[in-house]
Amino acid sequence: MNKIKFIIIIIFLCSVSLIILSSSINQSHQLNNKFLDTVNKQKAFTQEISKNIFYIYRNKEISASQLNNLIKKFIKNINTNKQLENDLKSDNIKEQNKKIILLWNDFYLKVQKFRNLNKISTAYSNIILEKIVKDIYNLNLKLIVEFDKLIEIRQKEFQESIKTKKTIQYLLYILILLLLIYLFTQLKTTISFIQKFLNTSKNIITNSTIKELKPIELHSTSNDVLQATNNFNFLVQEINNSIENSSKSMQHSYDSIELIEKNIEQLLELFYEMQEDEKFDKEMTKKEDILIQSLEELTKSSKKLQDLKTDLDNLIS
Amino acid sequence: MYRFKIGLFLSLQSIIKSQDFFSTLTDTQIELLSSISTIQTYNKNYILYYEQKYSTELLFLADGLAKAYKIDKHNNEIFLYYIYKNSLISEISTINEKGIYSFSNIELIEKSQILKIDYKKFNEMFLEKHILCKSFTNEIIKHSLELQSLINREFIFDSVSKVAKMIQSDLKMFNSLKRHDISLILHIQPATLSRVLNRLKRNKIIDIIQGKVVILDSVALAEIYKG
Repeated sequence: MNKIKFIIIIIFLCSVSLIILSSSINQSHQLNNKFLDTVNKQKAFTQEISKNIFYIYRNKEISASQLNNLIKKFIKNINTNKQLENDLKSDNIKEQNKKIILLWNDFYLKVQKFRNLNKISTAYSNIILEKIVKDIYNLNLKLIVEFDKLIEIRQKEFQESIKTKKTIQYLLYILILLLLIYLFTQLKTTISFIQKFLNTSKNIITNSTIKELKPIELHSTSNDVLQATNNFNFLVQEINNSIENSSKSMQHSYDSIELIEKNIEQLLELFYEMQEDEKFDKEMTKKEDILIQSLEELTKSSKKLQDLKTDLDNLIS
Repeated sequence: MYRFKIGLFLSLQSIIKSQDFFSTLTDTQIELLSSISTIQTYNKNYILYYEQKYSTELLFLADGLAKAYKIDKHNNEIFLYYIYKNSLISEISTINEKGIYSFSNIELIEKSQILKIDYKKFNEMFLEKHILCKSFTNEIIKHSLELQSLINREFIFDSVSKVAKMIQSDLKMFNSLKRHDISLILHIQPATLSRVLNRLKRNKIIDIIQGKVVILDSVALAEIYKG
């Protein structure tokens, strides 16, 4: 029984560890997804900004408000990214982010220049504007490549970070499964004993009899189950013995009462013969009354014993 | 038909009047009581009611003879007492309820006339107005005396005393019953009854002529159970 208790405690502890580990893996996934989402948004913003620049370059009368809005969003996203970068605590990501920020500063400078020159329309300014647009295009391509690199670095690091946790998680799963199989093999004999015990109890209840109760036959290696089986068999043996003994005792008592009755009857007859020709003797009469009462009590006891035997027979038949 | 009903009603009133229990009632009260009562005749061996049964009627034995008994778990009949004519049959355990729970089985041992009264109405019309309370108390005392006699018979008296007491107090009944029935009533074995009668006869306290018991020495007979 102690072994079973120990196994149950280990299963419980493993289950708790598994829950904590799963929760930790889940948190890592959430953080990773958030980071990737921010990076992808930034990538999208630079593309949008480039697209907007081309559009404004082709259509001068278009307002630059959307462009300004996209720039604002990008800058805001840089702050979020920095916060996530601190949470991730990775040097490679920090390094890559620095590269991206440098590229972004260059990109942003070109965008600012474009905004300023776009308002002036001279032959010279048009040549410079064309060069700036080309630079923006090239810088955007570089930014996309660097963003992709960042995503790649993050994915690689993430996979490595959860690799150990996942291995531990699988190990815990296997350990719990093995422990459950072992527990089942240990409980099998106990369940078998309980089933046999329940069957015997059910038989007693449904048949309303305790006659010829059969002992439980069980081959078990568990000391506790063996002890319980022996205790039950001992109880069954005791019940069988007590029924047999009480039946014998009752028969013996019944025979004894009959014998005493015969003796008292003989004594009474002797009394009658003694009193036949004599005068009324008070003392003798008292003794005769006592004998009559004794015979009455004996006959009643004999009848009660018979009733008791009937009750017992009903109980065991 | 109408005349027949009046005749029955008058007969019911005269039966009520003949009962000692109702002797203190006025004619108006008897008439009132008749309106909530019925009279019925039953044959010998009819079981009037069984133990632990609920009844809404108060029963009186107007005429005949009944016995109260219980059955033990081995189906043996345990005789309690006789109920003679002009007596209350129902066993009153409470006067607060609308009905009565029977303590024992009641069997008629002669063709009998039973007066049945609606107990709820009887309570409202008489007992709650303090009418018949004395008669009611007397009946309860009678039951108590029966129980005293039962205690004497079952726990105090030996077989000789039981037989002596019965011969002394109800010789007519003793001679009218079979020996087997007497042994059942006294809760002794038939062989014991025979031995006791033999002992009393040898001591010249009684004589048995053609199966009937005759008392020869009443004082000696009383001495046996009085001690």
